[in-house]
Order: sequence, then C-alpha cells, then structure tokens
Amino acid sequence: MDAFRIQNLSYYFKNEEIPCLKNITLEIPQGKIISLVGPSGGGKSTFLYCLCGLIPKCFGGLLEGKIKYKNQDIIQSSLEELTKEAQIMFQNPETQFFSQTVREELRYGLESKGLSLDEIETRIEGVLDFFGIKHLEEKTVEELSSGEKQLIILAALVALKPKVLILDEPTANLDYSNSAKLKNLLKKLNKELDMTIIISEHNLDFVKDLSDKIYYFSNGAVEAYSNQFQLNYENNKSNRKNHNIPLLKVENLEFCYNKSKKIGPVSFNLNKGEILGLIGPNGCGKTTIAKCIAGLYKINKGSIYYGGKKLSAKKLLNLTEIGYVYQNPDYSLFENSVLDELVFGPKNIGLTGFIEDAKELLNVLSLDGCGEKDPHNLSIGQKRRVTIASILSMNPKLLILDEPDTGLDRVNSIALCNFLRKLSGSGLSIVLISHNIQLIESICDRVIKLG
Amino acid sequence: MQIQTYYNTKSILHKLNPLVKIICLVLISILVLVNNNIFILFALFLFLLILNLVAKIPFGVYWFYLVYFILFGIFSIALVLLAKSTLIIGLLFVLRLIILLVLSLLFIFTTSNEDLICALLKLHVPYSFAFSLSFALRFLSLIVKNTSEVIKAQKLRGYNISLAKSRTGFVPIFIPSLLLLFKNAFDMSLAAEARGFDIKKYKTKKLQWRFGDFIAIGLMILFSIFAF
Repeated sequence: MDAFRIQNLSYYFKNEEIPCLKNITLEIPQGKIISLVGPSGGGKSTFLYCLCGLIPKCFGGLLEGKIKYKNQDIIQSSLEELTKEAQIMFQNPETQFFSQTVREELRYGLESKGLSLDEIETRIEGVLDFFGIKHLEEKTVEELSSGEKQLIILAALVALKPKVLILDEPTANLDYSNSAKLKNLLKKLNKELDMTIIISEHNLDFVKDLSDKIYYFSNGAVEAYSNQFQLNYENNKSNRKNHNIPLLKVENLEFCYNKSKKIGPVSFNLNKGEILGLIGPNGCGKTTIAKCIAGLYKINKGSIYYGGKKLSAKKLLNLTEIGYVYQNPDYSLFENSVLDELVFGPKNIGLTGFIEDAKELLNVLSLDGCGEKDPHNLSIGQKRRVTIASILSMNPKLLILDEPDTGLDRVNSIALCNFLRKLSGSGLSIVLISHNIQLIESICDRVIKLG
Repeated sequence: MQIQTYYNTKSILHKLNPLVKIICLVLISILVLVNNNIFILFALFLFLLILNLVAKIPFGVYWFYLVYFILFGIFSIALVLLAKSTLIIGLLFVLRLIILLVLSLLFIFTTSNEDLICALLKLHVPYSFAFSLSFALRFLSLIVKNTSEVIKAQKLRGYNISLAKSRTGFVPIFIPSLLLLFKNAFDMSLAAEARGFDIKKYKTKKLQWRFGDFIAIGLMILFSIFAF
C-alpha cells in the first residue's frame, strides 16, 4: 500500500519565477525506507517540507498538484492533524531543543499533544529503553555532544509515535561510528515499529544499503537513482610528494575544558606544502586542537612551535601566517559584497594594494563573476569558498579548514578538493579536519587519527 | 567557558515548588527596592550567596554577567560623587542592582523550563507569554554561543576589538550575530510547528506541594516582617 501519493507537484517560493519543484509524480510505499540524493539546491529539502505540510503553510509561495497521505489531502489538512502521522527532523539539532534537560525535551512534545500523565511517563520510559539513552536522561543540552543531541531529537520524535519519519540530512554532523549507529537505529525503527522513513542525504554510502529505493533530485525534477550519477573523488596517491621543510610542530599539547574533560596529549609536525588530515570521532578534540594552533584557546600543557619558535596563544592569534576557517560561513560574513569581504582581513592587518590579487583569488576559487554579489545570497558551497578566500587574502602560510565539506554535495566537494590541491602546489600547508574519509584519502599526504 | 541557563544539580532549590520560588522572587525584589538599610541589603546578599552554595552553582558563571554591572556600578558611583551626594546612596544603588541580578539568575539557573511554564500557567499568565518566555531562555544560550564564535571568527581576520570604539566598529560582529539570530529563530519556530505545538491541549505535570515549600514561604514572610 502507498503511504504518500504525489501527483504533478510543482512549487514556487514566494516572489520567485522559477519553480523549485517541477511536476513531480511519485509514490512512496508504506513501511519502506526511501532516500533522496542529489546536488544542493536540487529541491530535496523543499520536497520533504511539502510532505509534512510545512509548505505552503509556513513558507507561503505557490503549490500546484496533489499530495495525498493514504486518503488524506495534505494541502487541505491542518498541521496538527498532519503531525500525528509524520514527524520531521531538521539538520541542525541545536535549534530543535525547546527544553533544557533531556527528559523534559522528551516530555515536551507529548505534553503539547495533551496526553495523560501516565501515558507520557510510559512513552518516555519506552523510548529511553529503545534508544539506550537512559544514562543521558538528566543531562542538560549544553552537556551533550552533537551526536547525542541528534539522538535525543530523534527519540523525542519517535515518542510521538508517528507513522512516517522524515530526516533532513541526518549525518551532516556525525562521525563514522555515530552514522553507523544511526543507520542501525533507523533499520530497527523500520522493522519493529513499521515506520516509513524518508531521508534526504549527501552521503551516498550511508543510504546505499539502508534504503529500499533511492531517488535522485536535480533542478527540481526527480528520477530513479542509478550508478551513473555517482561521482568519485580523484585519487592522487601517485602524485604524493615528500615534503621536508618543517613549518609547525605541536608537542604534547593538552587542553582541559574542566576537571573531568581533557584532550591530549597530542604531538605532530607539519611540513611546508603538506596537506595533513585530522580525523577522529565526534568530541575527540579536532576542532579544539585546531583552535589552539590558531591561538583562540590557551593550551594547558605542551607547546606549539611555528617556524622553529615557540609561540604563546596571544602571539599565535596575532600571527597572520596561520589562518583558521570556520565551518559555518555565517559566523564571519557581513559585508555587502564578496570583494569587500576579501579586503576586510588585509585592511585590518595593514596589507595594501590587494585588489589585483583579489580578482585572481576569486578565479582560483571559481568565484569569478561573484565579486559584486551579496555574500549572503550565495549558495552554501560558494559561501564556504568566500570564507576560505577571506582568510587566504591575508596571505597565510598555513591554512586550517574545519570540516569544509559539511553540507556540500559531491560536485562542490570535488571542486573544493581541486583547488586545495592547487593551493598546496603553490607552497601552502593545509590542515584538513573532516569526517569524510573519502575526501581525506583522496587529498591528504598524511593522516593523523585522534581519540 | 560554557554559558548555561539551567544547571541540573538537583538541589533543594530545584525541588521547591516553582510557585513558591516566584513568590519569593517577587517579595525579595520589592524588599530590595524599598529598603534603604544597607545592612539588611548586605545580609540579603550574603543570604543569596549561601543559597547559591546550596544550589551547587559555580560562582564563576556570575562573573560573565556581573562584569558589565560592576562597570555600570563604577560609573554610577562616579555620577553620584559628581552630583555631590553621599557615597552611601551610590553603594546602595549598586548593591541593589547586584542583588536583583544574582537573585533573578539564581531563579533561572534552578528552574527548568517546564516548571516555569507550569507555574506561570497556574498564575493565569496568558499562554503565549509563558511560552515565549521559556523559548527566550532556551534561546539565550544560543545567542551567547553564536556571538562568542562570531567574535573569534572576526579576530582571526585581524579584526581588533578595540576598533569597536569607532562608530561602525561593531558592524563585523553585530551583523553576523543578528543574521544568525533570525535564522535560528526561524528554524526553531519551524521545528515547533513541525512537532505539532498546540497550546490549547497543553497539559503540564501537577505541581507538588512539599513540607519544605511551606517552610520556605514561612521563612520568607518572617524575613519580610523583620526587614520592614
């Protein structure tokens, strides 16, 4: 039996001429796991929002065609009715918490459904057992790791006993072992509770053996997935060079968050022109170590040598030769145009005569033609490249990239790879933090595993 | 350092009936505002510090909030001195502000969102107000986190915080923080909608009255009589 039946669905966002979804006809059977893959901006998320009724109710815009869940017309029904059938998990777990402790978060949705107090308690105990998260029950949101946060949100949704579970890029913030855990959980939910599960995902390996059927979304149109869409990273094992001019040396670095949580000791060194991969599970301290090198955190023990000299956190921060690129471009973009964004850094540190270089830089990062555009209107892949460019414009000798491929589709990710190679060819050292093993393998000269 | 809006240390203060806590909050606030005796205010301040010890909340977290108030306090004392008034009035003023701040923070740190909504609904506060307040508290930690990351990100681009003295100096920090705020607020409202948030059906747990609650109320009333 079909759970969802979609006929000739088209959707236009408010004030947009071009449709985001074009004439989609699809049937989603009951009790199966369905995955949607494809490039960013292809309409996967928009389609998911349509399924759970958020479009057009919360977004406005123009919706044509029919969506039916069993015999219920989704466009006509109210959101409260729909949430009994389908629940959606968004990409960022942080903004889906409404309460401060785990137990209250689980209780929150149930209370707003008006269930009896006994029923609420039994359901909470049920999901705590099902997900094996009894030990997290009393923790506050701030104490949870990103993997745990995602798990709690999923548990809170399952507690509402929906028949359909919709997940929007669930593995974006997860490491390999957490993804595997999530995969098993989804299988279990599907088998034991007979849930229909719909996933949108960039990570093909995650969905391949999990789903019963995979659809490919591109430019608002849908087709069944076939292997021809798969793009692989180019492997450069043969071009791997030996670099032997030392640049950075980290010795027995230790960092303590508080009395109970500690990172390290870690030691490694980095040569000029080398690309070093930094991998490890969620919460093992990859980002923290990178921030220590950039001088944002003071290390508790150990030392960092740069160019043969031991430097303190303050000196490291003032050293423009080390550039650290944040994962989230929204943290740093603020100017009206991309060019202004590139000039901001050099102006701060007193570099002049930069405009000529900026155009060349845009060319290298395949951003030509974007110079005058507002950085906030660019796509996520472009935004991330602008952030990298805004650091590169300060002429660093060492670039630290914190999960630069999160939320990027394969096309953008491969483009990123190519220009990182180009940069390292010109003598720049790169430290790359990522969960994406394929990316790391294809590009890094050396890999360090933490935790 | 992590900024939290709730510490789940399970102390006596956490177990108190949230209604009692609200009543005490209001009573002490009135007391602080109308009382001019510096010794009583100081005693109250010490009492709050003891309560803080009982609630097992690290003292360090207050610094984050207090720093601005101490700056404000120095400023106000300077103002009082300029106006040739007595120092005592200035001190009273600062002490009042600090007590009110510590008091309300203590309340927020020890009261969970659910308890707060529960108590506000019992007091017949309109639903929409009670829920907005609880969302705002959850949002606070997001704002603090975002802003500190934005500051770090701009520092890495050579942005010097002392430039902030100039008229447009705050823009590089202000704009990304604001944009993130809007984005997060939209995401959060979407998540609430998608979870089927329905005010009319909202059912909370029952508020429990324990022996300790009555003791707290009794002590509070005694203290107020004594202070007046």
